[in-house]
Amino acid sequence: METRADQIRAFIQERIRQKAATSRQTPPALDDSLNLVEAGLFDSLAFVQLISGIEKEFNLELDTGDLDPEEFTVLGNLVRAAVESPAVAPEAEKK
Amino acid sequence: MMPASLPSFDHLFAGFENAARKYPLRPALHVNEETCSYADLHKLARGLGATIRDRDFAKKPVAAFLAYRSKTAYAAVLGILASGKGYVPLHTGFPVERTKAMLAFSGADFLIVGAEGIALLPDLLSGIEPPLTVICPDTDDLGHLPEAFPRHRFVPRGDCLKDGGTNSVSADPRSPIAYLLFTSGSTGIPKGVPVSQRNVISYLRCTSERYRVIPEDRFSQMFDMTFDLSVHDMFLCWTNGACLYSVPHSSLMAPSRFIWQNELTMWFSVPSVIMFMQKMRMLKPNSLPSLRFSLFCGEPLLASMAEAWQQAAHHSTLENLYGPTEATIAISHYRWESGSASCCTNGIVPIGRVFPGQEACVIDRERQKVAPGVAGELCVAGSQVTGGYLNNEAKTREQFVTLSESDRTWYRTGDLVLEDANGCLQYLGRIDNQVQVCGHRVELQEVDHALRAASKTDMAVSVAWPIDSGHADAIYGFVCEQRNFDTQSVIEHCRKVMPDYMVPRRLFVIDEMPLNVNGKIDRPALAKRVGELLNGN
Repeated sequence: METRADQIRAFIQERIRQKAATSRQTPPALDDSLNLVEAGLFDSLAFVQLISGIEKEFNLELDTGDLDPEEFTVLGNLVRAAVESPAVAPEAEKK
Repeated sequence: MMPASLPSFDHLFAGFENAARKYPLRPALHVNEETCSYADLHKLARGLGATIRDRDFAKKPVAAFLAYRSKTAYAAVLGILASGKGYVPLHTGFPVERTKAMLAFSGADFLIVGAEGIALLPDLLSGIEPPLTVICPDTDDLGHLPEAFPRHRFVPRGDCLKDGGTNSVSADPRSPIAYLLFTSGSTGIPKGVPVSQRNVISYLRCTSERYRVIPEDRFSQMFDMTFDLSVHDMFLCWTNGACLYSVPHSSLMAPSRFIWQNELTMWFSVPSVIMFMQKMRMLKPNSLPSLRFSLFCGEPLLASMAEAWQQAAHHSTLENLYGPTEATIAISHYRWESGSASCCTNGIVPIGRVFPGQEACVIDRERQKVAPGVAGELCVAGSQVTGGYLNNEAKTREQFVTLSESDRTWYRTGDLVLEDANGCLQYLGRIDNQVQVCGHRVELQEVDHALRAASKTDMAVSVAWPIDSGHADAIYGFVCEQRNFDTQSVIEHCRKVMPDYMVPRRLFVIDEMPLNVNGKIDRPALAKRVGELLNGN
């Protein structure tokens, strides 16, 4: 069965593929050790947008307050941080 | 320790050297987890300076370096200055064609390359005609480079001089230029801005006093060296005997941990760092207690960001600085006080007043000075204003002008401001962002503010569309993915606070803001999107 971590990972991987496609880069190997920022795919604004996307899709609030940047810019670590984040009330139906 | 009164110096390297003689054992630089004392850095710099001087026949006014956040990058800045030349920073992350154009345009015939730049050399050097001397202080293994590029001379580590003898700054050549930077023009063609020793030293005198720098201070170094705000980091720090902390690439986006681990006291960055840290919930109250001063520059500072930073860095004095490269680093300042949001225009913190000894005025389209309270283009004059663009007479004449009844030179900033009742300059946007909608002049910044306020996000932008020579039919708004987003209530809020012609005709909710190469929101791309979205309907 697909776990929540798998779903979040798949969501991020899809965003990386889109990002690579729009910036005409070859998508990197999408394993858990990939550093999204070091790979040159996400700058700060783009990363903020990725986080917003994860929060919205999975109804959670990421708190990275005390983490080293590497602890959330690396794919596997970001998945773990998201899984461990508290859930928020599900979004009301869109109009 | 009390702030040392700044010893007089007339050259950046002499300013560094004064501190190095006074505090040889104090730390000057922390980079890549290594700390370098003033004596060490002084020695490295003098060695590089002497290596250049020994081979310098053409006596060009500037020399370039290609390195990134390494000890060699900082030593190269100082070494080039020690040789008597001005420095031209090149960026290992820039497209090679752009770097090649900058190098050629600068006229530099020396290039210092750090270990991190060596791999770029084959692409960079191919096609460069004038012979270069390429100094590689980090390696003896140059591979096939000398054979592949016989036109250029290579100086491996082993041939670099290890010390510069007792000479201070070389008197011959002694270039008036401190550094040469490139700004991207609105046309997309970069312009070279030579900044003189006199320009920078004027800035350093003023800010050393203003921020009472002491040798115990620990400075952030966030800015890339191709950005002139890095000159503040390096030389406000080094002329006062303090220590510079080069923020590693991996921490640039989210530097909170770096700040508290190293107990930084002086902070300087672009405001967008705050937005990122806010979003990542890193700006908890009192979480950055070591900071004494927090300075922001480079883009508009929102009151909401200033407040969030102030809560986190509660011991620090927060200032918004403003200034174009052409007027040396920063030329105006505004001291933020918690709760002073009412002094802001469109939610943007004022840019305040120019530094003592510098001058500002606001002009209209006919280049006549306007009364306080009237919006117009900001012009600045004084010892920080540079002499114009390198080899670009036409552009220099356009931007560096004389105004009636005075023969002094004013730099036209292209920024739209007004002087408020307190004599404080309020930033309203770029002149280029002004558009006419149905005959009315509109500042998009004002629409952005209404959108941000109503949608409770910083990710809200307005564009005018379709634009034809400054005139547009209507304004359209964009906001980024939000929970429970109600576009109708945002439009209703806009109707309450703005005249009809400023209210976005449509508000589009998009997943992601398109960003330009500088990582800023790409308005032209959004304007194009309006056309696509409307035609798609």
